[in-house]
Amino acid sequence: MSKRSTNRKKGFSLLEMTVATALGSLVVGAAVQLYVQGVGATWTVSQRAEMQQDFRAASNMLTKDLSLAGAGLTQGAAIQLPTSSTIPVLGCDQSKTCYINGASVKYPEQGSTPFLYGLLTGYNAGPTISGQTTDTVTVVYTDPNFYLDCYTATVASATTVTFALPSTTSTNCTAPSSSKIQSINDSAVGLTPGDLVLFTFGSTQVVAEVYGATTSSTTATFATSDPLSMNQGTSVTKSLGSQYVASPPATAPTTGYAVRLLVITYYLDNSVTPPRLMRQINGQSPIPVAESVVYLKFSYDLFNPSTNTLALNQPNPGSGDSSDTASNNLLPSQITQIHILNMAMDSSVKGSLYGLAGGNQSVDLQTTVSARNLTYVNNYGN
Amino acid sequence: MVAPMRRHSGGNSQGHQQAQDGFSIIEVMVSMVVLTVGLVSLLGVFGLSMASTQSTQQDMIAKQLADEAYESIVTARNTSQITFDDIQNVGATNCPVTGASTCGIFLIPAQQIYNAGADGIYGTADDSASGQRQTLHDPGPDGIFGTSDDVYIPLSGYQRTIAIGSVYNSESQVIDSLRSVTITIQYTTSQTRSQKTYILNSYISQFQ
Repeated sequence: MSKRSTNRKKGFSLLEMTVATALGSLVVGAAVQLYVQGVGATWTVSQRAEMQQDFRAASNMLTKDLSLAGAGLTQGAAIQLPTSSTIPVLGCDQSKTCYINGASVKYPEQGSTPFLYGLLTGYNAGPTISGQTTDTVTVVYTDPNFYLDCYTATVASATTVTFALPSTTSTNCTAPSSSKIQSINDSAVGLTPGDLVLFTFGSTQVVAEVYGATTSSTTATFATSDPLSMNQGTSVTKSLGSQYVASPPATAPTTGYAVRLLVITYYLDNSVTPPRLMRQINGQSPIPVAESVVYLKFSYDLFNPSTNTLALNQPNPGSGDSSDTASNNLLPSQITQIHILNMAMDSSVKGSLYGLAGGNQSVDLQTTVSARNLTYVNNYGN
Repeated sequence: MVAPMRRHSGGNSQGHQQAQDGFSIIEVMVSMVVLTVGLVSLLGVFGLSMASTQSTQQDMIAKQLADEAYESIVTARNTSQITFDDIQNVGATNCPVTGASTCGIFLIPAQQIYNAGADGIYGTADDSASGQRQTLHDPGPDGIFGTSDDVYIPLSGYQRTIAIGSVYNSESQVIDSLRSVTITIQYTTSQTRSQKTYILNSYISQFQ
């Protein structure tokens, strides 16, 4: 008994232990709760930061491309394409898979003649996501990195063009020095199947798609039945074939120069979940730019030089739609400003997982880009 | 958290000393309070990181507001809808193109963020006349754009100043074909309530 009384003074009583344990578990519980919330918050914050980073990269790419629309094009950034029952298209790759809503997209027409402009609008042309239609946009400019314009291009047959470097540098040549001129089949930047090439023969411009036999150091092939239907028979005007057989050569010369075109389409791909923003060039396979982009809408400002008036915020310019009457009879090449009405990205993590009020985290962009190259070409590009 | 007790370590005679080795309940409770205060102060760090992430978003908006104003100036220059004289602040007296006594269309004080108005150019007198504030378009509770529950948040915490200045050559003469453009966006971050500024400095030439 004497042991017990000594022990009681040494330690805690059962009551003390119980109170201490209860308090202790309260504090430990709170600490665990705090830790869990902390982990959640850290995750949310890093997710948000990463999303903003991805979004910034994607929007920078899009706005840069938009401001480059029309760069390097001539003839008012409006180039007539081959006109026949087979219509030139965009948005398809070399396997003839088409990506914009699973179909090919026709170029806009004047009358029944298709034209390639520095900027092509795609009102409601993208997929429908969560019941909402989305837009696409296509910009066209010349490739500034491949100095194809330094070569003399000669139509050797209806489907082949030979390229040769002239002994004195061509006035069209944009290379800083002759040593910088890459070969036609350069492994990094040379012509590959699906590339679009804009030929200038005197006053005639012809667009053709590299297709068929492999490009050698001197010759590229532009066989017919190409995925984008740019290469058409000798009877079709504005085709490479017709340029070859046309006579007299004085009005249809077969020697000129060439530049590579970049026809770049941005669209949303909803074949994956969540949807993503894709960038597709010429007849190449599309490349994802950003994941989880769920909305994309544009509108455009145009300038009517004959009446000196503006047509502002036209979602579908030139269509004659009721909201776009101010842009009737104007061409896409007369677009002066591009408004990104909304480009939105959702994070892949549901906010509700972290005690936030439902929904995903999202970030969106509304801004305006000047089509400065397009207006330049439109004003001076002849 | 329970204080260590060395009950098993030895015989009964050591009992007295062991009792003095342990913590009293008061000590334990005080240490718990201290620990709790320490942990709670950590909460502030999470709040701060949330706030800074949020302000990153506002920084991005400010950058876009500055960019779009500059882009609209470039567009106006390119389309020739206004003369180069008018690419100045209101009341400018150097008007070589038109020879007018005053020219310039960009308002001088900091402006609320309105839509561009009838001329398509930000920062001019017709912006506020339209009465349409620029808004952020958020998808609302359903997370889907274009539905009736969309939220349009006016950019009320932002102000934009467009200052267009002369550029001088080495002989201190005004270069008539070149002007400097300074676009300042002032905004208040919602969490920290601090005033922030984004400044875009650029030039605009008379020639495209």
